[in-house]
Order: sequence, then C-alpha cells, then structure tokens
Amino acid sequence: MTTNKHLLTKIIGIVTIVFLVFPLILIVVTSFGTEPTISFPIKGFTFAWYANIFSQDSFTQGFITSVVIALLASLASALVGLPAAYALTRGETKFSHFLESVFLAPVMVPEVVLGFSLYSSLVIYARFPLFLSLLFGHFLICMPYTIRLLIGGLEQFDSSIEEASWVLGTSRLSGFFKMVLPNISTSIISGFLLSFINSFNNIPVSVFLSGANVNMLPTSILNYLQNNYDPTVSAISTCLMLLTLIFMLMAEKKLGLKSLIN
Amino acid sequence: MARLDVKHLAVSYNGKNKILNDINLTIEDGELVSLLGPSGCGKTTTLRSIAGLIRSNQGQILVDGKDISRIPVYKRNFGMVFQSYALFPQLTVRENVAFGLKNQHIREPDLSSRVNEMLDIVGLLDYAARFPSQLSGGQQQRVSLARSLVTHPSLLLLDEPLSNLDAKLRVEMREMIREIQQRLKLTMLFVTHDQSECFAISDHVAVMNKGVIEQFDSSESIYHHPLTEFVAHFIGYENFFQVKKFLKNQKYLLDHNLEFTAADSSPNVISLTIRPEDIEIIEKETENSDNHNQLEGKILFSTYLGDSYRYQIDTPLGIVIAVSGTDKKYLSGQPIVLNFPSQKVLGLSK
Ligand SMILES: Nc1ncnc2c1ncn2[C@@H]1O[C@H](COP(=O)(O)OP(=O)(O)OP(=O)(O)O)[C@@H](O)[C@H]1O
Ligand SMILES: [Mg+2]
Repeated sequence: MTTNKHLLTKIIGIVTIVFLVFPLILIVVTSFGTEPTISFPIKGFTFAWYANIFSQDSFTQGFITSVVIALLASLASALVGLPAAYALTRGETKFSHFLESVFLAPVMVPEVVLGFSLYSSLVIYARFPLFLSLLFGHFLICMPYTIRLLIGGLEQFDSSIEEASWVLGTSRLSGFFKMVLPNISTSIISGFLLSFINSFNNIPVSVFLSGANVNMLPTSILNYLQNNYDPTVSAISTCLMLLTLIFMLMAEKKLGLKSLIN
Repeated sequence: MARLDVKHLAVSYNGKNKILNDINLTIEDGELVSLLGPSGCGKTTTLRSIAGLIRSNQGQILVDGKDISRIPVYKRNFGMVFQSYALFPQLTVRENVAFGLKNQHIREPDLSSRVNEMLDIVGLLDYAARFPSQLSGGQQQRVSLARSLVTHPSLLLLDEPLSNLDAKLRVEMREMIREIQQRLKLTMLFVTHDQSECFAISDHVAVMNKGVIEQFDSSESIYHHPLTEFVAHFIGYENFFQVKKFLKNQKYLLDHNLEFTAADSSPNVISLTIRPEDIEIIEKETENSDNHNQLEGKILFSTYLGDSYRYQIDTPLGIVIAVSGTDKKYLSGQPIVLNFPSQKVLGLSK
C-alpha cells in the first residue's frame, strides 16, 4: 500500500517536472537557434537574437516601464499597506474583519475585469494620464499580497514588545518605527518582492492600460509576437527567467523561500 | 514613589462578560503589594489596566490622588515586567536595559554605569552583548526585570517576574527585588501564584478569584486569618469541615453531631479550617477522657517531607491532612486521635 503511494507520488512529481521544466528548457534552447522561426531541434548556434532584443525599442522601453511601474506600485502598496495592516490587526475585531476583506477584494475580481473597468473609468471617463492609470492598476494588483503578508507578520509579532516600549517612555509613533518595523521587516521585504513579481508579470491589466508611449514588457512581447515568430521572444524569455532566478536566489538567501510563500 | 488607588475597576474584553469586577486596591507610597490568584483570575488584566494598556469600563485609577486615565502610557513613568518578558529582539541585552534610560535622556557615563550595575545585580554582566534569542528563559526573565528596575519607575508592575527561575535563583531574585524596593522606596504591585513567594516579600496581599479581590490584607492577616474558603485553600489550608449550625460562643455543630470550638464566633461561618501543621496527633493509649475538639482516626499513609511527615488520616469527617515532626513516625493503619487546638481552628464565610 505504502509503496504504491510512494510510486504514485513519484510519478506525479516526474510528470509535474516534465510539464513544468521541459517547455522552459525548450525556450532556452530555441533562443540560440539560427533558424528565422522558433524551431526545435536547432540547427546552428547564435547569439544574434539576444542582440536583436536591444535593437527593438519597444523591448527596452517596455522593460524600463515595467521595472518603474513594478517598483512604484510595490512601494505604494507597502506605504498604504503598512498603516492599514497595523490598524487592522490592532483594531476592533468585527470592523477589522470587514475592512480586511475590502483590502483583499481585488484578488476576487478577474484581472481582465479590473483592467477593463479601470480603462473605462480612469482613461476614457476621467481622462487620467495613461501612466498614472497603469500605476494605479498595478497598485491594486499589489495591494492584497502586501496586506496579506503584513497582516501575517504583525500577527506573529508579540504586541507586548511594542507595549513594553511605551511603558518605557516611547510614544506610539516612535514605538512603531523602533519596535514594529524592525521586527516585521521580513514580511515587508517578502511583500515587496511578491508585489514586484506580480506586477512585472501581469498582462490582463497592462493590456488595457497601455498605449503609444506606455507599454509594459509583457505587452510589448505580445505585440511583437503578432508580427514575428523569431527566436527573439525565446531570448527575452530566457533573460527574464534568469532575472527571476537571481531575484529568487537573493530572496532565498535573505529570507528563506518559505517565508516568501507563506 | 507614588501612592496608587484603584477604585471600582471593571474590565470586559468584548463588552459582554466581565473579566474584572469592582477591583479595589490601595498601595501606599513605597509599599509592595502582591496580587495572588489562580491562572485566569485576571491578574494580568489588572496590571494592564493600571499600566494603561487596556481601557477599563468603569472605575478610577489614581496616582497620588490624581486620576491618570488621560495620561498616555509613555508619560506615566511606570515600569512593567511582562509575563512574556517582551524583550526587544533586535536589541542586545545591554541595549534592552538602556532603552528606558535613553528615553529619560540619561547620558554617558551615567547611562553605562547604571546599566552595568543593574546587569551585575541580576548576574548577567557577561551576557550584555548577546541578543535575547541567545539567552535561556530564566536569563531573559532577568533581563526583563533589570530593564524595568533600572529606570526607577514611580510604580513598578511585575507580572510573575520569577516564574521561570530555579528555586535558588528565585529566592535570590525576590530578596534582591525586596532590597531594591525598600532602598529606593519604590511602589510595587507584584503578581504571583506562588504563596510562599508572596508572603516573603509583600507588605500587603490581595487574593484574587474570578475577577474579584476576595481579601486584601497584611501578609500576616492573610496567612493567619483567611476569611473565605477560597483564600484559605489558596494559601495552604487543606482541611475543611462543613458547619451544620452555629451554636453559640465560638461553638459549631459539624457532621455526626460533633461539636467544635473555633477561634471565630459568627453565624456566617460555613466551614471550619485548620493548617495541617497545627493539628496534633495523639497516640490512642494516651488518650484523655476530654474528647472535645478531637477526632478519632486511622493513618492511611504518610510521605516524608524532610523536616516532617505528612499524613493522610481517615476520620468520621473525611480525610484529614496533618503534618507532624520527625521525632515520632506513625505507621499506616495505626489508630490515632487528632486534637484541634481551638485557637487554631478558623471559621470561614462564603
Ligand atoms: N485579549 C483577551 N480577549 C478576551 N479575553 C481575554 C483576553 N485576555 C485575557 N482574557 C481572559 O481574561 C481572563 C483573565 O486573564 P488574565 O490574563 O488577566 O489572567 P491571569 O490571572 O493573568 O492568569 P495567568 O496566571 O494564567 O497569567 C481569562 O479568563 C482570559 O481568558
Ligand atoms: Mg497573567
């Protein structure tokens, strides 16, 4: 019985790895192919497609926009999320449960719907600048993750530590900076990283809120794919994978992957 | 250095069930009062209300006669040892102890000398550079104690500050607390559920049960004259005899038509009690004819306590616990007579 279970777990594991990793390996391999279209197996070896990434303005622009938006949105969600999560964990129970669901609500809304509603309200109706609308959309994407992680961190934090600092003559505000912040820094950093990755990878919201000069990297790639099917896309995907890997390794080294997932 | 008055304090966490109910307490300037009670009776809640960490529903807290409800926690100059220690994990032991002094704008070299002196007193000078996570539970507790004492607070609230120490260190630390308290004339409220600890260091003791203070009295009074069954039980009285009727002049009627004389005389008495060590065991042969305040019984078994034997004795009034010296040992099954000196038999009310 147990050996059967063992076998089943093994098979599921292998299948998962094959389905997850094989396409990724395929992408990496095809990015070095000499053929003008993505094909496998490759016939020759070249770095040309990597060079081609930088000749495309839409990619470099998209990358910069993506990084800037992801940074700003993660930062904003941390700045808004911190006092909100603090109030939620320290406040009256009934009301704070309600508020918590409000802050977590954006996860429930399909991102396409979120993107479209922001597009029609902010861009079409209120005539907001596209960049700000995009930023706001990504802020909404980041918010739930940030709040979740911060609430988790604050619930772990023994509030009597903070109280002890008050009794010893520290005001509430200064107690927050001296006691709360340093002790939930893991949650803050992991919330920031998760927000950043989510914002950077997002397509549904970005598609609706992009335009002539405002394009995120994923939407640029989509646009490019509509007219071309050459290994440049494989090359850029490989670069992104590498970046994400570095990112994750950094996070892992600093916090341990567990805290990032929980 | 202040006098504390707690008047009619009531607290409930969710507005429904009351955790504290009409708590009244006075600590004179420079006095140490212990709050004694079983787990969950509301000791921590009382301390937190006084510190201003939770809002009370009713009542007043006065320091030197002035209501402090509007003074924010950080301006009260209180000290507190938290039950969970609440050390600052990101600061070293030295920084933890120095934290309150820095808030009081104490500068070097005063700062270092006071911190070092305090660390020396609690025996942790060698651990000054460590972080709390690198200390044992007992060491953490001593850091917490040092951190609260070093600022010379006007009122010090201690929530079971010695609970995690071994027996020897416990006695050392409680004597240290008492010594500092008397030298600096600090006003202290000391929470414990260890009765010997509480009698050893306090001027007054408040015995608490289910959110009310059952008895607030000097240590001696509580020890020798507990007023209720709960208080008596909590401070080591083990024998309780139901009173059927108050006769007259300190005389009470018990089960089996036994008549006992007690030290108290009141119709409100519902049971009589006596400390195990106050009961006299007499051998059956030397029994005298006067069997007033006496019970016949049979030794069930004994345990050796080092300086005495502790017996369980089967009597008509149920199992009686008696403690007697080591000069004579009674054997299991031996019939004996128990004598209850009337001045040691106390009457308890509800
Ligand atoms: N935050 C809270 N919310 C609701 N009830 C609480 C809260 N804190 C404590 N209580 C309840 O209040 C009562 C008193 O708790 P308190 O912590 O004051 O007890 P205690 O006398 O300090 O006990 P112990 O000796 O175990 O520390 C308990 O019944 C407890 O369940
Ligand atoms: Mg407690």
